[in-house]
Amino acid sequence: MSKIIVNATHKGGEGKTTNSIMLAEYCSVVLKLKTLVIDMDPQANLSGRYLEMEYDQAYEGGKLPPIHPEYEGTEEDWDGRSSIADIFFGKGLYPYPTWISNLEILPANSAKLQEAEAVTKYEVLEKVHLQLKRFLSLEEVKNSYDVVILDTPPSKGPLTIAAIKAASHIVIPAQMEQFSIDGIFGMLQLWKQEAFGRAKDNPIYLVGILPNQIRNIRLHKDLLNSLKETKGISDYVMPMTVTKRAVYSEILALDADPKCIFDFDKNHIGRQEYGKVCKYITDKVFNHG
Amino acid sequence: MVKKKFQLSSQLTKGLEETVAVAHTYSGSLRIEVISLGKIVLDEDNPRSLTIGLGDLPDCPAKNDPLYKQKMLDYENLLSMANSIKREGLLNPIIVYKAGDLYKLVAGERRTLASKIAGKEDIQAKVLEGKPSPLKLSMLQWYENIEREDLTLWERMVNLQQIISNYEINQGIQKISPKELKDLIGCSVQQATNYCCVLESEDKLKEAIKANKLRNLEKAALVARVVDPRIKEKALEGCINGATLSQLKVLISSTPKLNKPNTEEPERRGRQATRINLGATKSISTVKSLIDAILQVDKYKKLQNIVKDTDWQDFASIAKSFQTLIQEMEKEGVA
Repeated sequence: MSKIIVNATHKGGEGKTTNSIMLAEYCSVVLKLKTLVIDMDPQANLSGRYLEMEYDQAYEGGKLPPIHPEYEGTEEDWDGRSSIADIFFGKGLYPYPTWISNLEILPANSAKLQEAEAVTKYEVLEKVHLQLKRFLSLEEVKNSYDVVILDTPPSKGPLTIAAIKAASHIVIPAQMEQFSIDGIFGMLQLWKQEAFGRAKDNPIYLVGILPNQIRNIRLHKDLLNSLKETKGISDYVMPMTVTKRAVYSEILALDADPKCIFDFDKNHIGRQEYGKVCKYITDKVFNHG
Repeated sequence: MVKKKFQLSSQLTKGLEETVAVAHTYSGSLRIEVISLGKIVLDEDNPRSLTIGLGDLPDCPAKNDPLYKQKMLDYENLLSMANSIKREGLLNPIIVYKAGDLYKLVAGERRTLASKIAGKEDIQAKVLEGKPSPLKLSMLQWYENIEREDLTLWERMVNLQQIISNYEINQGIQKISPKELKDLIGCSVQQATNYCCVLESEDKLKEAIKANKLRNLEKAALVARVVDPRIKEKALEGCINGATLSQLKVLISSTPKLNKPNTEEPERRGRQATRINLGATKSISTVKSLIDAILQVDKYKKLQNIVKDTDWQDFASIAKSFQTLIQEMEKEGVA
């Protein structure tokens, strides 16, 4: 059965997408695992790293996945594009290959994801919440991938809940700043709620809180220490931190070279730092049986 | 100057601590899944009162069905719940346990059937890890049903009888005490006593409860406690005819007991009597006749003076004279 890791926090700018990218590339490039990354965020930033997204005329600022390379134009129920949003509209899914051989992606479709995110009617909501879990539980999906990485929008809406319901492991990236730590609280509440309802043979593990974008300032150090001293939470604060570094932004640029942090020299400080984080997370994920 | 130290607010820290602690304690205990209605089967060990089944739905029961009338009644009773499920969804999940590919129903038969009528294909269910023990099963049904408004006294009695039998087997005891029943189902001792009383009563009372002619536990228990069969029958009749609890109590206490020939020595209760109480009367003439009769006796004739000044209109005066007379007679007797 594939492991499903979700990066979630409802506050924006905490490093969810970056962490999803790092984890997906660590799993596929370093660990050589068959990896699927899923972009649940209508902003579609993660999708843009691996696919040439098209700008949707019908939706301001929205993005569409490109025509699938395997589309032949003869398929009856398929217009050639595929996004994770299609599971909410009863359509089949076609993961896209990426420039990394072990990594496939189900990209976002801004308009359709926004539509799913805006659902409030109880009956439909229930379907949205469980649809991703149903898809990832399909035998053929489980057999195709060793690990699935889910990137979520910065909200506690139906898409984030759907991702948490589908996940086996949850990672909460957070800056050591007041609003971010409030965000941790919100996510722990979601994790708690989800943990209540899980079967004994299908629990959801909180891998941990990843202290992210840490700078050498008193605020970050103090709040991190304060969090580590909080009863019960200390077990969930990851023992390493991610420093705020230009390289983590640079590799995301279109013409970056190398594009992947794990293609840098082994001694590169960024590769070493994020390598430790990814190792910590994947060790926890794959040692949970 | 001392540098400012930053820290989390005590409220946030408390919130974080509590959230993690609660998550640890309750993990997996509230598991709710969405399962296909087609995968739900009724548990044969779980007695049911409805005649209608999943196979009869979502359409109305077939007219050529031998149980058509009863099924149609069940169907109509389920319509309002089906309507609410259609509009608001299911408010409380049903309880099932996994049995191979299927799920056996523990609680929520009506909700399951109503969901089918509402045109649903799946239903929210709390899935138990394995088949619950008979005692746990009957307890779950009790908790599930006890708040139901249309639950009849008979349905409660049947459920309780199961709980009690399973408990007695589990504990290896002959008979559950009201105290044990109280602890088991969490009711008052009085209620537990009433339940025990009714469960042990004879068939006639139970038949009336089964026919839903008697719906109140307290009244049923009151009838069950009557020993005299004639009074019991009268009380039961009163109950069925809608007598209130107090009317019933009056009826039971005022009906004269059967004149059974009493062959046994009456039981003496309380302390041994050491004096004779002559009682009280409102009849002045009775007391006057009594005193006159006494004063006719030769040895008491000299006590005439005691009553000489009695005011025969005044109860207190008469009582005083009578008491003095008795005292003097006692002295005379000793002498």
